[in-house]
Amino acid sequence: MSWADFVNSFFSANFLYVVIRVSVPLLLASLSAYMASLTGVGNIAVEGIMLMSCLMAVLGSYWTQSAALGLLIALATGIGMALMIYMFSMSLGAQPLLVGIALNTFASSFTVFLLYQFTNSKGSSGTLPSKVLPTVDIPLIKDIPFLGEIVSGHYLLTYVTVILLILFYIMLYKTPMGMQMKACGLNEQAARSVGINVTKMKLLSMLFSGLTAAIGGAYMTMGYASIFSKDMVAGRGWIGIAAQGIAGINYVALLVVTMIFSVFQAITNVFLLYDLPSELINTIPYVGVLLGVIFYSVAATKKHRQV
Amino acid sequence: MCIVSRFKALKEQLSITNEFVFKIVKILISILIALGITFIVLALVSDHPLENFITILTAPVKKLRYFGNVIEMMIPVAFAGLSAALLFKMGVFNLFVEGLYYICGVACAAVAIQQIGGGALHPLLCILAACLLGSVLMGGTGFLKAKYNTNEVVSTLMLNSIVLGVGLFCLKRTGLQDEEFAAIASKVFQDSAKLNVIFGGTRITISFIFLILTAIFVYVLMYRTKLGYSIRITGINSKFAHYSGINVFAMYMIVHLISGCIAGLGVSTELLSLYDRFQWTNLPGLGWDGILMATLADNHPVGILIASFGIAYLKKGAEVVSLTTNVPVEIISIVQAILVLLVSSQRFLVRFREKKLLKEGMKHELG
Repeated sequence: MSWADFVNSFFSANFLYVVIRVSVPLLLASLSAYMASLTGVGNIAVEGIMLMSCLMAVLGSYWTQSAALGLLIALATGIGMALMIYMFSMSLGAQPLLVGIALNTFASSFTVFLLYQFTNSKGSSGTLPSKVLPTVDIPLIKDIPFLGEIVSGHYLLTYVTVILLILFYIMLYKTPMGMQMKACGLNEQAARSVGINVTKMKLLSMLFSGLTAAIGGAYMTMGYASIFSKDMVAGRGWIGIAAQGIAGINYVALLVVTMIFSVFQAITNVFLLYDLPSELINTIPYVGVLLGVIFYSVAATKKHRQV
Repeated sequence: MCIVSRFKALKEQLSITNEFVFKIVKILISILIALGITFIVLALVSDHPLENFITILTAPVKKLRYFGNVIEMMIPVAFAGLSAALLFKMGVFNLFVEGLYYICGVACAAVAIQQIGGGALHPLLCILAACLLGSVLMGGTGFLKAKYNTNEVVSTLMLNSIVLGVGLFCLKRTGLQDEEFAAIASKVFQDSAKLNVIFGGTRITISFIFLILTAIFVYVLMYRTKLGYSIRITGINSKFAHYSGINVFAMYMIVHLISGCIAGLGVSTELLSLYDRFQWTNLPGLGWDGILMATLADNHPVGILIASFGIAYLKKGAEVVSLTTNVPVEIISIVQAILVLLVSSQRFLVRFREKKLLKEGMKHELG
């Protein structure tokens, strides 16, 4: 394999197809982190929720022998976990961060527990006949050269994600509810004083957070791969949190940053083929956020001193 | 009645507050709930739930080797807990201990595979390398926090992922890796680097003594010195500390440096005691466990020892059960999660406490 091949592999329809393929779970993880932080609750258990719904999608579709019901079970799991964060942090007064850490470590072990119960393996669910969701060919578009290769033929959940992204955009920028949610995160007291139901907004935002993380998890085992393997989310949840860390409450920035991270992930896949140091490429999103946070705080401190 | 009044006298003698009693009661109730739910899960998956449950609770004390395993399991978690507790006590929610466990482990392994020669020198150098790296990295986050008030939660979460990538890179591409070994792993540690077993019949090494000394050190530092008092004051209100003439920047730096050093000590003694080569390809999770133990113990060093011992005890019990049944050791994750959630919930049982306070208040009024 020559350098020309190497360079060419970035300028092909296939590479862009891969970018979209890897971007879906990252976008959903970003959305999950974004939704939770929008009203100021915060969710660092994105990784754990995704992992748990990954497994429940496999087990659910195995129990019911139906991909759709499996997906529903995964969604219920994700939403349930997100609501647990809400319950413990808002109603019982625990720190959301601690609840998140507890759920992450819990998910990492408990998925192995469940996996072992149903497959007698602690590594993967290879022996379990689970269902996957179909891929979709978009009529007409799939016949257009190049564009058709990139956009068509993805898994069903990919298109669901695109629709979700649009719906969330409309909700956040065009409806009163989106504004009210943002207001809760920016200043809770002010929001309450103008009659916004803060509790309801927070509950809703955690519900969305759980839902998106759960779809991300289901995508991992019902499309991206067809089996569950231990710790298979592999840091995607953290990338989502990183993207949210950069973008703040700016929804468009969130999507752009996540897509940039997705390109890096796709590059990693190419690097793996050529035995280049993919480990370091993997850290680029995190380094970006770290530098961003540092610059932000340095600038804030300097500004503060001038005053 | 006699016992009650005696208990009250004892309470006054030891100056135990009602607050403390409430905390203990709350933890005990949380433990009961957690074990209860574990039993229910056990009943769902096992044929002999009661028998297995009793094994979980009693197996570790039945054999010396099992009890040794409990201590071995507890050591790295307790070290991580101590490291995290220092920072939490300071009011800094720094989560870097997880990442440090990985990268300091790589540093320790890099020294442990070299031929350096016998005596205490080799393990000492390994531990020093890990502690030094831990201090420097943690000190870096401390500097950012102290000087620029950088958001430590975001920065350390990112750092955890960054050091994983860097550590993997070092492991694979700087000559540490053993190419002949089937999985990704470092070369074999030299025998001269390993720590000696101090209790025959177990694998407990000198790391246990290090742990006890570290816990005593943290306790004395935090609760029995002027420095520790200044640190705690800074943790409660850093502005107040600043205007009282405490050098807040120095406090932050000292705590971060010590905390990083403890993390390095924890992982290096763990590797040199129990491992033949470094083969973590993912974050080990010991740091997160430590953070949870610090939460359970309300950041008190003695509490951290007790909490990590308790969880390790249950884990070992579950491991013994998993040898003969289809119940995997991961069942203990249920206990741990529920315990942490309930203990860290400030409003859990609060109504019960309020009732009690009210009752006491009424009594005073009448008396």
